[in-house]
Amino acid sequence: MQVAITKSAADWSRFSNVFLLAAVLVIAAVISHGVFLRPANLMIVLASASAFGLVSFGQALVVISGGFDLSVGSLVAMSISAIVCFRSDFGIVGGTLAAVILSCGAGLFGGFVVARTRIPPFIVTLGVMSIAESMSWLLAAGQPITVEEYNDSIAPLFSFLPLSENVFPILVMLAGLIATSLLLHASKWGRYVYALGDNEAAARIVGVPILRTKLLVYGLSGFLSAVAAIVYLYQNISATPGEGADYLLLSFAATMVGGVNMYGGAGSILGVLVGVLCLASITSALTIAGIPPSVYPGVLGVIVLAVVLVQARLRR
Amino acid sequence: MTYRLELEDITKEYGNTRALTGVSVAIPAGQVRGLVGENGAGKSTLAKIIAGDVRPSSGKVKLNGSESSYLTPATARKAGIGIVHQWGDLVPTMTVEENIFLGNEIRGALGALDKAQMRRKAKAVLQELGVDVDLRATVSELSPAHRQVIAISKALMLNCDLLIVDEGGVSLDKKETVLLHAVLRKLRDQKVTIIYISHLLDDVVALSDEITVLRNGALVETLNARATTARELATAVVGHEVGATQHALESGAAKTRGPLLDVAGLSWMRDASEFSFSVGEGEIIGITGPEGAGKSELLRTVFGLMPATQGTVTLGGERLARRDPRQMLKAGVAFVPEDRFQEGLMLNRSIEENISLPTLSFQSRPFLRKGTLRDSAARKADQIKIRMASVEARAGDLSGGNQQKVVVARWLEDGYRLLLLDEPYKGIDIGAKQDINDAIRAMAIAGRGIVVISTEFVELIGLVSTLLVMVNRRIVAVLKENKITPQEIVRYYQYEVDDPTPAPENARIAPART
Amino acid sequence: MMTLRVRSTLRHLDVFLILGALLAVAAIFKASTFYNLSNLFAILEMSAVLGIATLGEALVLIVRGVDISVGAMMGLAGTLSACLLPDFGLGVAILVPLAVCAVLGLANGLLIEKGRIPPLVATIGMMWVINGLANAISEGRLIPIDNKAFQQIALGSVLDVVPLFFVGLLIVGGVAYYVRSDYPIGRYVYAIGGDEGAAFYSAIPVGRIRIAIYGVAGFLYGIAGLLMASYVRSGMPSVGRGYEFKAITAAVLGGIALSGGRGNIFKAIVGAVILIVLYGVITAFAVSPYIQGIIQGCILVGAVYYASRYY
Repeated sequence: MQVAITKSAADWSRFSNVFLLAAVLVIAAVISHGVFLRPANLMIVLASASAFGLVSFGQALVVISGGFDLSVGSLVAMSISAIVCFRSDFGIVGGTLAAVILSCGAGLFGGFVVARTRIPPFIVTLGVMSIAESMSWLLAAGQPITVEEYNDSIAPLFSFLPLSENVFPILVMLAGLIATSLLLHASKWGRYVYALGDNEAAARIVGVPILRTKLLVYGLSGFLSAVAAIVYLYQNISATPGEGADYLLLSFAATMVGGVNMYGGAGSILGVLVGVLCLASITSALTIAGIPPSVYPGVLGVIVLAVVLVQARLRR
Repeated sequence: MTYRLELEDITKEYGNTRALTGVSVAIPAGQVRGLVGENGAGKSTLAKIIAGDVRPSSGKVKLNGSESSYLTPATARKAGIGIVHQWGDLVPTMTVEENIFLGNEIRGALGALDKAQMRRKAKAVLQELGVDVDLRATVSELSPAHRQVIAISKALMLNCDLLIVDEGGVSLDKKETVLLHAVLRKLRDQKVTIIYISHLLDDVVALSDEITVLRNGALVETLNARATTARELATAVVGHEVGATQHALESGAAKTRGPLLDVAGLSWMRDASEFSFSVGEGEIIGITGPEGAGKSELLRTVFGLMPATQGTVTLGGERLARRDPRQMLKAGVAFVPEDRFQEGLMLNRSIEENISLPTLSFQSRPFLRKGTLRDSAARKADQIKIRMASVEARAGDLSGGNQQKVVVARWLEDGYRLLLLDEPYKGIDIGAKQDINDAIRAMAIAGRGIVVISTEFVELIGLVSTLLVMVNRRIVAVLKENKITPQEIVRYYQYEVDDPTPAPENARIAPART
Repeated sequence: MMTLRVRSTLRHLDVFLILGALLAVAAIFKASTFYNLSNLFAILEMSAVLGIATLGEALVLIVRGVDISVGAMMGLAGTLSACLLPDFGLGVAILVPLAVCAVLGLANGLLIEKGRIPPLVATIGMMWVINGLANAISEGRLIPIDNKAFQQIALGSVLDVVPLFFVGLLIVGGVAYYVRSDYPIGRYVYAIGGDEGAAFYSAIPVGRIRIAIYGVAGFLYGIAGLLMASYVRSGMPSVGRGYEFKAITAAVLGGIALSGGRGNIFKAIVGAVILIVLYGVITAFAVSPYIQGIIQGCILVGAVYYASRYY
């Protein structure tokens, strides 16, 4: 997809991303003694990136529009619990629907508050995060969660393919990628999102509908969190309430590594995909190298700070 | 005779542009020296050089008769030079006393603040200046004049005896101006040298002993204020080379076809001042006046960016009650904001995106037709002669003039009926000004109504058929066609300053209104 | 005139009124579960922990910053201390974590001032780095603390009810208030948040002060972390999880403006006490503890909204 992005953003997100991905792949291959590059492993990496990839696309939309969404991880957790909670009365379809409505609603609420008040986006989404986290415990009544339906009903559809377990997550991520790319790069709403992130006051004067654009961006981020919850349950079947909160860190890191400007107004979904793949590769390589998962945040934090330092330097 | 400050042959270049060319000024101690000139004449550059904020490219600086090296903010402060910047150097959330001593506190035992002594000193200074302000009041609660006085007190606390006051009189009302003048006169009587920079010629004439006039970065002359009228000063400021005949209105081009915009009794303030004017189809009207006169506020209130306290705006017979940018654009009114960085451009986006945005906002098709957008943006860019590599180039990489053209280019087509432009000539070169004016004329010929605000009224001469002059948040004159000359305009640039003890010469100041 | 004075007095005392109302509610409805020694002690102890963290966050907010690394720093301090205690003794186990936290706080400041990264992004990044460090040290485990002297830190009390650290907090708050009103540095800190340009023109070393404030904040988070570790008798990287959120909420509740330059340090500490008392009341009413987060989120957004309307 040829994306019309601007010069400085292009330098960063086109070339350095490809370069970055290549570097990461080489390092991953070395750390894992080649295990990483086996097709089976690559496919597993891709599938494991699916849920947080979806969340990252939503996060990227928000960051490009000039905000931050700290609620994404908790919205995933809340959606997971909502599916279980409403499944008992309305079946798995009803539960899924309820999760999507709740998560979307939380996003829309955040977008509304951000657009209509002077409260900074990070405070609003921090509030939503706290509420969603509590909701995830309340909805699941503090009990461990098991949802087998997604895996049972979807996995057999692809059983004719090798490693069939991984096909569904990859397809969903692909769908999310195409949808958000179309929105951001081929529709007028995408132009609004960029305009808003670059200069909100100027966007207002040329008639960009600020409220609707923010509702769209934050609502979509909530929606993608709900979809990520479905993918998560498909892959893991069980979860504890509050699980999924880590996606905040992952999505934020992927967005920054993917070349989205932290001040808003620049970045591409394709770049974010590269960021997602880089992070998935790094985590996969770390796992293969036997580094305990509790240390990953530290590694990702260092990467984020490095990327962000370079961005700040490039900004003149 | 030794002078407090002498500048000899000062030149300042920024890249290729010259802000000052060989300026020499000598100011004796205990004088109020007025410094006047149009925008871009070099007043603030000169002030910054004296305050040490800017280093001259060449020339000599002498203090009290002996040559000094170029000043830095620190050495300037040590040499007793203080500056009161246009918008003050005060922290609005802090109290008067805290601000007066900020960065210069008096300490007592154990390094703790000696509050009693600070209060005493602050009180003494304010009393000396004849101003009664509560030391515990928060600065954001003070009137503009009192803020100026506090900023002056702050400078005095650093033992300065050469004070630069940059646009001190702007946005003060009559009573406040009298207060500020009284304060500055008291300081002069205590042998403090004052450099007073202002757009308001009457203000300068009333206060100063001598007045230095700058034009295009060069010294024009230094006048004795006692023997000068505001009108003479106006002539010196604008120069003689600009005559009305040079820019004769291209008649026929601006034939008015019918009424379009009617602004009646509009205001954004709580007091009684209200504004009324109207614009016809194909008519270009201008609004000028010194900085801080309220021109921008008026236009922003019309467009709905500021809430109106009273009055109506009618477009083509239809009253526009709820005004916000989207509503106004739908009604066919577009706005070019004063500050292209703050409100005009998406600097990191392409020229095409910047131009296409309003077009997109009002088309129902959700997906972009990139070819069409590119062609239409390129067409608009061509019309207003934007110099660029391609429409895909980043708007932030353009020169100032071309950036401004991008902001105007958005509105060239798509059937808008009225265009409001707020300071479209700010910080751009002559060629770009010409191109923008050509585009404005073309739009007027096509039947649009246009309102242009500019402090640089020279650009409006020959463009507008009606010119409103605004001073101190009031329309003081409505000039028509061949009455629009620099001399006529500047005649209204004055306050009615009621000097409690008017020097006899001051009586020669031309009356404010005819 | 009179009503105006009453109103402004009320505004100055608003946090105390809220606190009083909460305590009254507890007294009327749940006197026995709320007002017993162990519960009061626990509430005051947690108030001390949050109060110290809030003090740091409030300082950062006043210089127009924000710090998300609070909880991670607390976790690191406790973990480090628990690791050092068996081999190096009490002194090292207290001083080293505090020094490390101060240095990490300075790193926050440097990233923001010299690296020109927005405070939110910089401190989020640092939060993960610090959390990763703590996890690397503890290998993801909870490290129990057996050292009696260290345990005693949290248990020390005045009259068996008021933890020593709560008294300490009040003293630190009082000192902070005194410094603000009686030393130039207090004025500089508020000037930087109120108008950075004006502070710069007044020859105030804006950058250095801001970096130092982040350092001081880190040091305070360290103290809060050690106190917490002493109270729960273990070092755990995740012990401070959510404290950044609580500290910001408490500071805003206490009237510290997110836009910088406004607010009273002492009232911010009262804000922290209010939050903890509120949780205590909720627990006394035996409402689901999970509802805490919902209330917390609403308070944060509501308080910021209120402040944004007021200024």
